[in-house]
Amino acid sequence: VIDDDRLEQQYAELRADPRDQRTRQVLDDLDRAYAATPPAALQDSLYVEVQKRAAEFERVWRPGEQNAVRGRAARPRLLWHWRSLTACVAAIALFASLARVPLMQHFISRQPQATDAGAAWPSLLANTGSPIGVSISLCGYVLTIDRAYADANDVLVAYRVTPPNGLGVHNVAVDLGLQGDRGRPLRGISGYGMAPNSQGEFTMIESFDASGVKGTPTALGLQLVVRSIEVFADHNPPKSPAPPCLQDNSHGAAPDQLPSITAENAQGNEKQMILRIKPPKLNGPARLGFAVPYLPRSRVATLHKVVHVGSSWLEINSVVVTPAETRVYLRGKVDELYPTSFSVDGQSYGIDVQALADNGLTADFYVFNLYNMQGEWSFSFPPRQPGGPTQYVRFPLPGPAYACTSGQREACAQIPAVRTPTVTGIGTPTPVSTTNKS
Amino acid sequence: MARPMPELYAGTMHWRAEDDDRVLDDQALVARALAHPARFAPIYQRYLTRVYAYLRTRTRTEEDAADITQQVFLRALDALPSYRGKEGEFVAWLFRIARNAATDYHRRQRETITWDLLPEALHPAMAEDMDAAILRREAADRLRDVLRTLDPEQRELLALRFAARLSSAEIAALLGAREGTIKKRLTRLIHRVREQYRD
Repeated sequence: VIDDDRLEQQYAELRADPRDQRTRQVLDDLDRAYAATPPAALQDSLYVEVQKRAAEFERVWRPGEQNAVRGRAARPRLLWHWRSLTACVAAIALFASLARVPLMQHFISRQPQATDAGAAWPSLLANTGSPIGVSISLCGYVLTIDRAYADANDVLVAYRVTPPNGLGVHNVAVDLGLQGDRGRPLRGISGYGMAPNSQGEFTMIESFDASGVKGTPTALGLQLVVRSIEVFADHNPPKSPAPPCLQDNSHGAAPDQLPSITAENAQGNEKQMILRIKPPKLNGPARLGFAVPYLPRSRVATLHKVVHVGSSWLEINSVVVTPAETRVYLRGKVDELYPTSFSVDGQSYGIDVQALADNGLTADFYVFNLYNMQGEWSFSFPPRQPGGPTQYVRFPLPGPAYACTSGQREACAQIPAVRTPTVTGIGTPTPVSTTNKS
Repeated sequence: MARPMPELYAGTMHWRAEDDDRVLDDQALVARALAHPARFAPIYQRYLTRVYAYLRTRTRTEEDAADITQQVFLRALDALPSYRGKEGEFVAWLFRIARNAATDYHRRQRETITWDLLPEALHPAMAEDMDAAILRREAADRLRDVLRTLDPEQRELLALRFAARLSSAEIAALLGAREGTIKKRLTRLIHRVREQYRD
């Protein structure tokens, strides 16, 4: 049903004559034609992501650390993909009526982009990562670190959350951090969520920035700091029995003595609640200690190549490739629409320069999964005006590509073959050094 | 003494009568989100449908539109500290991010999206009777034919006006044009659509 008043108000400026019914009909049809309703799962997914980012923001945005945070402004992230959430909710609804079917996981699969850094993580963790197997129970929810992996770019932590029986849990989001030696925090980079398995467990992979690790230790001693677990669950407070922890809290126990649980209604939908489960305040956040072997090798091209296009400029500082991810470090000042891309092995990849456009001069890095690329790299900078020259910066990365998907641990232990790289392209080449740390 | 369960929940509800974000203007919401990023939710709740509807006109599938919509709001959240807009400018800033995201999408797709996918184009509602459904489908086909004759700039203008529901002033702020110019272009465009639509 079209709201006549709304149409009248919304498009009044487009009707010179209010009695012109034909124009009115066109406006009516255009209004209908362009209407679209976002999928419900999109809002759920956004909520989870915003909360995760907010938690990360609160954690790292402290005086003296602002520059580090600014640099990450719009770096592409792996998201709790809304598709996985849709599939998850749909599958749960389906199977709730058909009883539980062990093959649920076949209907629920996250579809990461091929160049997402995280696309390689499951196999990397399975083949090269180390089993950890430490757990903690919070209010009936058990968090277990299954495997971990560390190289010069990232520490990857695969963990799973097992909800207590009897709860219709659609999704979970864990607010956590990772600390290295002397409690030094490693910055969180991406979260990679998997749909629940047939046991209703939620498996996740989190990556943390390891670029600040000093030296070449054989292993890293780490602590996973769990601040809270947010649970998207079916609860209808007036009718359904609440989980035991909520009942405990409702009996007026001192907040420092019991897990603190709050419930929020994210969408005005009373049937789906978000429960936030926190460790007892008395003890601080929950901590799980573990150690993981550190693989320091990386393929690095240090460029510091500056390219000017019109009033924009961009400096390619370096490219660092490890099995966990490929990072392109950039800084510069660009127009918001300036298209930047690079190619390697015949494949082209766009670089999102939105952060540089929004923040002006900002260092940033961009994450891809290009560990198995061997060929020459080529960054291209198209002209701002038609007919102008496209500028290129070309360079090789030293050493053979990694091949960590063969299922062999030693497959990642590539032997570096050092080459002398050169930079070619329009403009004056700047000194370039590349290294292959091992 | 035990508190009854409904009170426990009521006290922690996200929407509370005395704290209703829906009555606040954009500037107030932005200020809140800057102080506490978790309070970004009211912003995307306010604009989710409009951003999605706009991106639906710029993408091939509903899934792509949803993906990019999520990216847009997360970009906006990331970029919020750099937002320096005055009152009424937030929506133009947000849709600038949406347009950039759509541009990135097209670049990644390496192909031109035709306008055949025009909206959910007048899909008949389930409850509609058969005659009404047929009439509506015919109207959709006619409208699609008309829109095919427009150039991309004109179609973008219609998408911003009817899908994103931006006013002429907001479109002008977004495109860096004068409000009067946008109003004239839209009026001419509607006139043209009307004439062709009738034929």
